[in-house]
Amino acid sequence: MHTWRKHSLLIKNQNKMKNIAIPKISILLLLSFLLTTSCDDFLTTVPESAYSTEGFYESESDFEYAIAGVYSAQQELFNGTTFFRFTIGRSDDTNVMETNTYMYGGDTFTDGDDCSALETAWSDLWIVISRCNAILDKIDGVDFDDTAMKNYIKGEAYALRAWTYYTLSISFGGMPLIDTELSVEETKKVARSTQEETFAFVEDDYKKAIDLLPASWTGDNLGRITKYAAEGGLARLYMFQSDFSSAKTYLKNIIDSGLYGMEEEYKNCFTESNENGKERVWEVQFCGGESGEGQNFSGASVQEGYSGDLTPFSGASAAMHASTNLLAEYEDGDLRKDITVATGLNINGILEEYYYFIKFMYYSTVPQSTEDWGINLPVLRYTDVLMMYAECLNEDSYVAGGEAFSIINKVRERAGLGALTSATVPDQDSFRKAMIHERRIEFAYESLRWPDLVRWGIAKDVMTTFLQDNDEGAGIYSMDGDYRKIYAIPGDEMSRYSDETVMWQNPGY
Amino acid sequence: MKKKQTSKVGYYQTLFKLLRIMRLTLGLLLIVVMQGWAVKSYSQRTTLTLDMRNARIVDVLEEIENQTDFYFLFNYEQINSDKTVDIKLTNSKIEETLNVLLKGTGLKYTINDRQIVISRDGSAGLNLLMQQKIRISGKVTDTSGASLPGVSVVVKGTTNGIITDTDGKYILSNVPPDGTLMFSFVGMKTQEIPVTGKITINVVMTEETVGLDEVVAIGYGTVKKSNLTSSVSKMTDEAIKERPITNVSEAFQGQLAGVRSQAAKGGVPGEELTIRIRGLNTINGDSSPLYVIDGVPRDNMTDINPGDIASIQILKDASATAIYGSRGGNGVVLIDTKTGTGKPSITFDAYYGWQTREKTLNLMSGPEWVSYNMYYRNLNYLRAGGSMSDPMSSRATSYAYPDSWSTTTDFTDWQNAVLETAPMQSYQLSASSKGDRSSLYFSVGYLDQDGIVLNTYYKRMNARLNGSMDISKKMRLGINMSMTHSDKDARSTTQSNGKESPLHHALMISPLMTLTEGTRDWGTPSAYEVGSTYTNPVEQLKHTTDNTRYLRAMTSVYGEYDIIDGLTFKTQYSFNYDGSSYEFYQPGNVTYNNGYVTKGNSNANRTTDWVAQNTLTYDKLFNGHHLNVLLGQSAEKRKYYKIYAEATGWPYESIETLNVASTAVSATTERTTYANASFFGRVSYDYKEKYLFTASTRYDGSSRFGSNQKWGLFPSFSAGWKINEESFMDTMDWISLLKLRVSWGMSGNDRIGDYEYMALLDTYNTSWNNVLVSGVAAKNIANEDLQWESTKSLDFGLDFSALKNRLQMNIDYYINTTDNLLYSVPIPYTTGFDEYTTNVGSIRNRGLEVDITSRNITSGAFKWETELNLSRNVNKVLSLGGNTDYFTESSYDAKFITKVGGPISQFYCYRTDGFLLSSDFDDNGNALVPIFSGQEEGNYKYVDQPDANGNTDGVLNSSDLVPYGNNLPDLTYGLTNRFSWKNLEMSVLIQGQFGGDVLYLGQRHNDSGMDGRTIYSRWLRAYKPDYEGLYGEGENPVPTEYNTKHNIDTSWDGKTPNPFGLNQNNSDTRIYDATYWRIKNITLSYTLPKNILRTNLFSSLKCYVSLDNVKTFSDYPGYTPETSSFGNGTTRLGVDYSTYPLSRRCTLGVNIVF
Repeated sequence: MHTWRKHSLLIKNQNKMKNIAIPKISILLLLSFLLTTSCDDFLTTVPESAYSTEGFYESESDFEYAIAGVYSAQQELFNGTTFFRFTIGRSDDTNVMETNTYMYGGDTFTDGDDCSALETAWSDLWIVISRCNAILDKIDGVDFDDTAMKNYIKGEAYALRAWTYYTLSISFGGMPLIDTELSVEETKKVARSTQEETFAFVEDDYKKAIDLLPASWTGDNLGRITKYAAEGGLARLYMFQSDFSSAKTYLKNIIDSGLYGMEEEYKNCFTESNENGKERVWEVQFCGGESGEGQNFSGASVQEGYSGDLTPFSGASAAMHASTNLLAEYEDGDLRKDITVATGLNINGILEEYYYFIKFMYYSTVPQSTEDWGINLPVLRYTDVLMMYAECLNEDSYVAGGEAFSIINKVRERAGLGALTSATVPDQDSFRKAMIHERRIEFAYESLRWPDLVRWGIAKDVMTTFLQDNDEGAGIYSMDGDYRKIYAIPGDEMSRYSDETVMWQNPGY
Repeated sequence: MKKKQTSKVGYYQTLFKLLRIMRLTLGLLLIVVMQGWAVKSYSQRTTLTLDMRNARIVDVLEEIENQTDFYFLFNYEQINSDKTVDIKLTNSKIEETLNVLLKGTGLKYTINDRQIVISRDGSAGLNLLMQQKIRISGKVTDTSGASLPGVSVVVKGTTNGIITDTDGKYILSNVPPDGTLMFSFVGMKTQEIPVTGKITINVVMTEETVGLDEVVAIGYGTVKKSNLTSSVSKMTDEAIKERPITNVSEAFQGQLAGVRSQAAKGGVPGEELTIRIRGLNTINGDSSPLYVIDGVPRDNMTDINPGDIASIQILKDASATAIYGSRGGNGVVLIDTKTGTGKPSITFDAYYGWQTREKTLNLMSGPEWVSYNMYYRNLNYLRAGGSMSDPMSSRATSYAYPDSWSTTTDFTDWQNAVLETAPMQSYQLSASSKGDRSSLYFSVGYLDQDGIVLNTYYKRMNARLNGSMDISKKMRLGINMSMTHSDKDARSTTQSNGKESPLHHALMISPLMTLTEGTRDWGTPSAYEVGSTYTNPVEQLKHTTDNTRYLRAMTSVYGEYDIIDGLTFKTQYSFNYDGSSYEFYQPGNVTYNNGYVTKGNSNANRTTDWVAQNTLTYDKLFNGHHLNVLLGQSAEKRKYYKIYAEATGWPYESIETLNVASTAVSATTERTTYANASFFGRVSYDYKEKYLFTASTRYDGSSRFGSNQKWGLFPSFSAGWKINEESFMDTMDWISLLKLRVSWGMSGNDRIGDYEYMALLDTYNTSWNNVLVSGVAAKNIANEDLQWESTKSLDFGLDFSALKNRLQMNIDYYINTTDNLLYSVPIPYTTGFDEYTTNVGSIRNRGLEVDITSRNITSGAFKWETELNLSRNVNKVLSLGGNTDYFTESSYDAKFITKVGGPISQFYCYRTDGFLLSSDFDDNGNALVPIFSGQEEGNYKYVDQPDANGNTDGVLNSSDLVPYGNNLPDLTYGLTNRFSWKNLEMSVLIQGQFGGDVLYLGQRHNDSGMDGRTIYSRWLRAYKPDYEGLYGEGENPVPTEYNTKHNIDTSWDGKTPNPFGLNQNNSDTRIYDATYWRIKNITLSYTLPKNILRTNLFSSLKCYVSLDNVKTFSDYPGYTPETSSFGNGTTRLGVDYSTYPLSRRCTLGVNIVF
């Protein structure tokens, strides 16, 4: 209001000089400004090409856009190599030659808190959570014409939040449990909880999701999270906690749904043409054809300078190699080897001896750029559901030639391998060992090996042995303690908090 | 919505009005100018036609006034009678007319130009007065004796005056014998000469180089330089003319204390230099000053024609900048363009020049590359367990090399291949004139500059029209119009991703690759054969389009009206258009790392804005008290629009436009609006020009801030004391000026995005079942309290001038503290966001500036003048708000830290302490000192930094990163020497800096010892452990035979580490002292003497030779230590990542005045 007083003052000054012939033009200019604009209106400019959050989250369609925004954040995490270097590269499946360059020591257990790649993954994960919270905070206050869709969207938000907290927690330990939108200052006050508390939170979220989600989606909605995807996520959480009986219940639900089945050919578990097929319980969706929704992880599986048929492009700097240890794990005649890895690739004109992972390079839409791979990346395959179920059965009790045997043998059969029998696998423990071997091969390069090693409690032993290999530094490195089952909280995040009573570093780092 | 519409209507109304005014003004302007150019006097050339019957004399006189510009002075009583006349005349001169009209009336007349006095014959009064006045004539010349046209000659205290004619002559009637004549001319010292009965007065005008009576613009007004109370620097066109300055910012280098002009992007043609005034006052990212061009605020001065510039003034302290309030915080640059002066004249300026690279990097020659790579592959083989005695055929290809390496002489010098000698040329034609009621300046210019990197160029066309006229004695109107078109192509050498620049590739490409390899069609040789290859940079430079065209038009009209004596109202309205279009196209044949898919994108944007400013100025002198009061208001609205499109895959590569591309990737448009409204005022007072005071304030509103903080107040105070005016100084009359100044003020900065206080949504799409799905989410957090950054500045100044102003000196000491820094503060990722735009912390800049001008030799044929400026600025971060005392940033593998207690943007790296020697390892090869895993003998030894308690942890990790060095110089300077001997003039400009550091990020690729690439020659002389000791007798990987043949020395130079093992790139070893000094310019010019010209065609002709960037002296290994590749990001300063080399220029020029 005071601004108006200023205007009138100016006008008064002019009026005092009314006998004087002030050029009419100037007066007009001045007046045209003064009359047509009050100052505060003049200074309130409305964004013309961006939506403001005010007025959003108020209608059904707003929430449809909002949930797509959450999927988009999860895609972001899977697009690129940074996240996978840590879920895949830390295990014994990959060679450790990338030390200090791109792995920041993550593969040699020399990693600290200064790993910028891990920081990117951390940040992407929290974006997923905040977008879920924005939806869950507001959706109950809005009426939907399609009430079923309202429940589905809520269910998706719970499931995605659960998956994200699970991923954070197995990678970094207990997390601050933020389940609503908070201001920056409020966020800074929420302290880390324990890993158990975080798992309980994840369990709760998954259960809510299971109650809300549909059994399946159709048409253009295919690929969204279903009830069974959430049950699989929950089962995986129970497996991680060795709660096999709980896991078993949910895995059985998936199997009994009759909606899924194993692909007849191993390769079809990964091909672009079999996306959202019977093998795929939960996968992160990508789309090629320069839609902007492609990923570049597939191409980054081979080294920069590559020329050949696998990809129309050169790969990425420092692609991960398969370790000789993994290659040695393959049984003779295992069909999965040539589908998973390849060697003798032409890199800058030299035929390399390294084995690269080619599992995610079976495209049918030709990528137009390095970022344009339309291949979906798996979160949960049906084979994994079955194998987890088999593991549960065996943990329940060893049954010679029982259902667990028939599951693992189905997997082996697809791989062109002979069946296991109670003669070769005579007891519960040897079945466990068989399962460890089979999972390693079946799920190589699918981010499952490392969490498996951790949940089985064999990470330290396996990795220490592995790092004795001549190709892996011949004992220069070792996993020097169980604290390395999780990573350090990124140092950058520590300084963003600057409060170790809230965001403390994991012990050992 | 309603509100928006209202303002739109207002906008179009005013715009429409503006267009009408413009048309009117132009029309009037042309008429007046045509009149001004005529040579005969008004009464001689004016004729009139009358046909009146039964008219009274008064009526006839009125009709004459209607038809002509004559006006009559008479006593109404004396001539008023009922007597009527019949008068019929055709094309009659005024004298003739009056003779007929007044015949037999007893009235007589006197003509003084347009004024005609009618009086009764024999009466006293007016007539008597007339008789007492005299007619004075004379000639005005300059010191060289040349006549000076256009000089204003006025009887002091009256409006009676005239302008000298083409020969410098004048005749002025009606001068009281006891009066005083004032002679004034732009750029010359005004002279007052008492008439004392003389009838001839010849005057020699002297140039106003002394500068004390010079007038300085201070924003919405001017002040005599000697009466300044704040810190203002002035630069005239001295710094611009006769130099191949392609854009105005280049002229700033080395000219002014407190003003740093940095070629942040190197020598890219058409690229504006970064201007920083008194250090960095913000961490927000943009520390650029506000530019005010002919009174109109702008964000930059890109594409202004240097040839049009009359003067540039820099407002440095807040008492000067506070009048620009919210936008003055980084200093203000006032640019005034030329106005019409003197008799009508045409000036032609032209130069032609050649540019060459200023420096060549010391990279490996062909044989050196071969030697190094033989050594490297040999050693890799040894390390893999091989032996030098094995035949080459037994090695795996990655360890082997072709036999041809030993004998080949077919090498390509890629650095030479992409750099060339480039021509540049500039032509400018301008016309200038000042008549008694109007002035006009217009110019057209053309610049064509090729860059020294193949196929890069910059072209510019400028046109300008500046005109003004006096509508009446009280009213003046003026217009400034300019139009610029520029066209530049950087061929993707300036992209922010330095490692993908063709220039960078040229520096690292293997010399074994030939000029006809390295494209899709030609194919690329294998790494085994030639080492590292990249897309052929010569071809890439040839076929890539990276073209930007600007079209800018600025129009401003103004009117001034003297309401009463001393009270002037000024209104100015300007409308500006700023449009650019950008096209990028790279055919698949030469794309880098994109699978040979052709890519292209294009964008166009336009900014339109209008600025309305109204000011009321009152200036009064009474009994030694001088008061100047300014009141003003301004409003501004700016609209921005952008369209962007991108596509890939062209079926044929002969057409570059996107319409024929096979896949459209994206197409978007965007609009934003910015508004600013202000009220301001200033009061200046002085007593006998001895005690000087000024106070000003601006109340500013900006659309960029939160609803709680839209308005801000920016006050300032300053005072000066001219000690030399005191009576106790009377004995020291060799001191012409001794003035102390002190000022305090506050100004702000609103350079952030347009809607940053609001929470906005962005689209984050996804796909389900291979169908694109639109997604939306918040992209930032709202901050309704977002407000101005405010800089408080305290300035102490001393102005000194002595020995008849032959020595002048200005010293300033200042302390600037900026609070409420606008910054995107990193916030916990757990919020779901990375940063939050808010106001945090404060920084301080303290500094000292010295400007010295000395006219060393002034008499005789030889003259010598020296100008020196020195500036020191110390930047310190005082706080970063909240509980954070530092934040870091990184780009590639370089890290930066801004930390409380230190300056903005220090490098953040590992420190080294020599090399790991064999004594640092035990017999089993275990290190005795902390090392990074993988380190070996001969690698750099890194420092394990102690913690707060002084203890080291024995481990090298990120806790050992320390702030080290920064890009801000300790001292910058410029030294100009001007010599003249008769008609020959020479000027030499030396410019440089002490201190400051630069991080050579190109090191990652061409100075880190990697094999395959072309790298610095020094790596041949890298540390080499005792190989025979390690691998056995005879196992020496160094190709001694080849080296002997090619005279290559591989002994350790004591500086270069072992490239094997591990050396951290992010260490102090690639941070270099940026101290440099440069012979920036040498100009030699010769003015042809009049008697040699022997023609009346030209009135002067001058030729010159100018050398720019003659030589830079520095220890820096890259192209230039001046660079800052990440440009405006103030928290990532001083990085050199494939900077475009500076060019040395040699130009020949001519300046002709017709």
